[in-house]
Amino acid sequence: MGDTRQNLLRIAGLLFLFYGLVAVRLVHVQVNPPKDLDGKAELRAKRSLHKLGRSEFERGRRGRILDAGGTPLAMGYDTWTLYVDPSLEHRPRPRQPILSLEQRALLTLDALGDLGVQVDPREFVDHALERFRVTVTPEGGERWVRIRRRKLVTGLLAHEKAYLTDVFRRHRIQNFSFEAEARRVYPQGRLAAEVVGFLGSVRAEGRTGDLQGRAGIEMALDAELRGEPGIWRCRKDGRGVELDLDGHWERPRRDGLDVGLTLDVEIQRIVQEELDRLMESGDFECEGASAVVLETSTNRILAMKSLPDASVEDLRAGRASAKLFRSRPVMDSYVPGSTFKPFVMAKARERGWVEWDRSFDTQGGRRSFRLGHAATSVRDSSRHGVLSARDVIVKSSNIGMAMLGFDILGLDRLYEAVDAWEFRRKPGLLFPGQRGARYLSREKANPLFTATRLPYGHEITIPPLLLAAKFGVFGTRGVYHEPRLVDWIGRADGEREIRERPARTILDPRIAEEMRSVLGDVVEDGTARVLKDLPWTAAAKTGTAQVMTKGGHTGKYHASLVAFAPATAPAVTVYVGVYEVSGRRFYGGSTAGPAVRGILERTLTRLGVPKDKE
Amino acid sequence: MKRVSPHEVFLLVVLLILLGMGTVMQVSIGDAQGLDRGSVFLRWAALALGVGFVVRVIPYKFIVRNGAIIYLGVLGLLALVPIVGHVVFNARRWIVIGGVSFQPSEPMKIAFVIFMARLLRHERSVKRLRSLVAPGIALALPLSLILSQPDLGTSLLFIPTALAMLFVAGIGRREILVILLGGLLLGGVGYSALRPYQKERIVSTFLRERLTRAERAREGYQLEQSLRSVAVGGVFGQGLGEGIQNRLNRLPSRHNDFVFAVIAEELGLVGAAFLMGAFLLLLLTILRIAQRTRDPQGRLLCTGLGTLFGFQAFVHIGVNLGIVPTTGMTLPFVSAGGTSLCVSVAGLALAASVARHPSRVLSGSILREQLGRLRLVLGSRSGRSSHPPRLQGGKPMVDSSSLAETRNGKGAWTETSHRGSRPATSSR
Repeated sequence: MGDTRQNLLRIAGLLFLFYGLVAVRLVHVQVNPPKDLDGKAELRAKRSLHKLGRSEFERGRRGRILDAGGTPLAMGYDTWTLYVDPSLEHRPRPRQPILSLEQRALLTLDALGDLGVQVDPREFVDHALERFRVTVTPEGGERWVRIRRRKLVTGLLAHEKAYLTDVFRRHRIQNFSFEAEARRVYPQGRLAAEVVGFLGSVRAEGRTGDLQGRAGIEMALDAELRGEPGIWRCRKDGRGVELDLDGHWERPRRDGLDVGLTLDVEIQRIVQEELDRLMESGDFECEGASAVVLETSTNRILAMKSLPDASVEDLRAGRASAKLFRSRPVMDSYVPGSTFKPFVMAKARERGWVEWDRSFDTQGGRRSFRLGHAATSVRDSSRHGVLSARDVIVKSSNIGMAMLGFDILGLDRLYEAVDAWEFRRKPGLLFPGQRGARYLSREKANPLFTATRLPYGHEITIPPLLLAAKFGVFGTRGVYHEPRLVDWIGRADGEREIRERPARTILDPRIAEEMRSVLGDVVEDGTARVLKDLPWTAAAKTGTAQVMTKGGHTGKYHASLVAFAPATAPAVTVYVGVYEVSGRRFYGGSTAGPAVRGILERTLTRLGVPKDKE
Repeated sequence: MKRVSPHEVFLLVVLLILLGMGTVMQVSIGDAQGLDRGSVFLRWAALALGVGFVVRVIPYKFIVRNGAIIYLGVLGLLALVPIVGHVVFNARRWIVIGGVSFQPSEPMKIAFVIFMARLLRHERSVKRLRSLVAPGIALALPLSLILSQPDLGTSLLFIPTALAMLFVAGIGRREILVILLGGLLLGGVGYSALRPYQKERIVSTFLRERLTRAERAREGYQLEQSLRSVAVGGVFGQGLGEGIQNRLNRLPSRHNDFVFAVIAEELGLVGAAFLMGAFLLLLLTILRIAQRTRDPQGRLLCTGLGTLFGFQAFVHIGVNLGIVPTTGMTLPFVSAGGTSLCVSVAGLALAASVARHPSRVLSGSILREQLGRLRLVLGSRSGRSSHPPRLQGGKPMVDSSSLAETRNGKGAWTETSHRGSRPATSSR
């Protein structure tokens, strides 16, 4: 008995010894841990805990782009991609049998079959079950890589996603997940493609697959249209599965705002058809054309088009280049030619430097100007003899304008007249890549060449939109509105922020009235007679400018015509420019004229503007 | 109604504390893993308590008497594992019966202890080297089967348990020397037979300081993460459910083989020391029961169970702290694992059963024994007969086996009555 007791005590002592050993080690590790196990471990772990993010993003729906009548030009919807994570384990309910990976894949396949989603069953199951793939190391060896996420089906619609989610929820299947993919459709095709723009894939917020505007309104108002992704703050277990308990929206998902444009789809269609007709007429060859239709009283852009163009579908299919999504009236500037003459003449009149009855001897269509040893000659397209200042505009005499600039104004006053129009200022649209006019600064200007050429619209380039908007001033008694493309930003059926633009008078109303009368004569008796037989009175100015390179004249022209109608109470201003025209017909009146006429006629009819002419 | 032993109450309290701790830790681990480990553990704990209650109701002597049947039955299941067993983590340890999967190696631990208690119940059974053959075979059979699964950790539990039981059974010094020499020889041969990953684990445990960080991450990943968990815990721990290592799922198998590291991380030194204290109390109570009982079978049973639980907990904690090579060893009453939990509670119930019957033999035997003694005394007084009295039908009242059970090592009659009753010896 005594032996037994002692033996038991020995065993207890031995166990005490073991536990003492363990206790010493425990105290050592916890109270005074070795260097490699000290607080750094905790810090590292905390850092990686933070890095895990514990959050989910949910992208907001991108806003729509609508025309003035609410017709969608761009709209977004989400499609869903089904992913599988073969490494995730199944979490069954109590008393629920554990489903194998294969059973889960087959259940999903069944559900997809119910929805009529076409998938290759064999490939689907293979992909759903594949847990590893082999990659080749730089040394040429093989390495097995665990597959964390694999794309199975793309393009699932919201109701299909909801059905599958329900199946997964019922069977507690967790290794399938969805990711939203924003789809953007442009129901009007190429109609206003370069104005609306398109989306491109960019890397945003560290996530690929996000789309961002790459042109037009989509780019300019990307932040407003995009909305904000919601951040779902949740705790995840080590396998990345969200725990059910404490998820909450740290920042709720905010859908993008809608954007209402001033464009009118019908007028846009008219412009498109007229430009198409112009390009296909065969009377001349040209590189492209553009048109702008503005509401004269407010300079709201009713239509804006450039050709050649393309639809977003063409771009996505690789049939077209992104360069075709360049909105020429805003982003490019051209030599305006004679369309610029009224601006110089009007300011000269306003300042009292010239009277309408002042004579200009155009000397039979060619005249030389001399300054010291330098000389230059200016030509008119036809001989006009002695012209009044009014006729200089009506007949579009380059010599008359050169005389105004060189003989009457001089460089200083010429620059004062041109600068007063503020052409260098950008139009101030909510649009990417806007330009202002470009011409030599006063200091760099040549007293002979600039003074003779600038007055008839050479040595200067102006974006067509800016030219058309300023041209409208002659019809609005000198009141200028900054052009407007975006009418409002907000909700189509809710709160909107109206984007009004300030108006200011930039020309003496009396002079504006006088100039409107002169420009009316341009239609009746001048270079824009193509508009003469319209049932509305119109005021217009044509322009034709040689396309010059360093080697000289290329034999091509930029031809344009800008007009507003009815002349007495202008409703719309129309600009049509035809670029790099070659062939027999190249003047603004004969190339752009028919298109302007067609646009004016159809637009005024659509707007219900009463005819003011028999 | 039988009086409940204070040892029994003590065992129950400690058991409930350990099960409570286990539940809390399983909830915490399950929360990090997105699994409902807490309620699974609770269900198993409830079942285990039920099993324990049944085992406690059955007198332990009855169980020990049928030790051979239990041992052979479980051995049969163990032998089935290589044929019909499930492979989990490259080890074939599980078999499924009636939709329930369990590890036969777990009940084998208790079955082995019961059978050894039966084998070693006579003092003479360990006095000669020759008599160690039967216990040796009883040890070798499950050992080899469990080793082949492979499950080095569980198989190594059998050796200290068997040694402790032999030691208490009164094994001679010569035999101890032989066993130790044999053990050393076998250990040497055994190391060379270890699989490469097992050798790596041994190296990464004992030569950890010499390994580079990359080597540690590769060869001793679990150990590194376990040590990091313990170190992060500090004195007061990170708080329940707030253990960074736990939340980040850094430590594999932490719901069973590394649960101590999670306790140390979330409850700190205080919690870990409390757990170890609870285990020590449990072991001391079991050994105290062994000391108090006058029945060699009960003593051996408690010694085996105490050593088994004590050594298992030591190995588990040692693995978690990097002083024992990494091996899959659950912490009794705390780790997840239904079989382990049921078997551990059943083992504790056996110890409680011994505490409940500190000196009794089966009630029928007691009756026969008391009657026999009474007649023996009466017979000697009347001088009618010096032979043991016989029952009707000529069967002796006290057979040789029950005599053996009531003799101490010196051949004298032992006390068989309750405290306060007078000893019945042949001299009276």
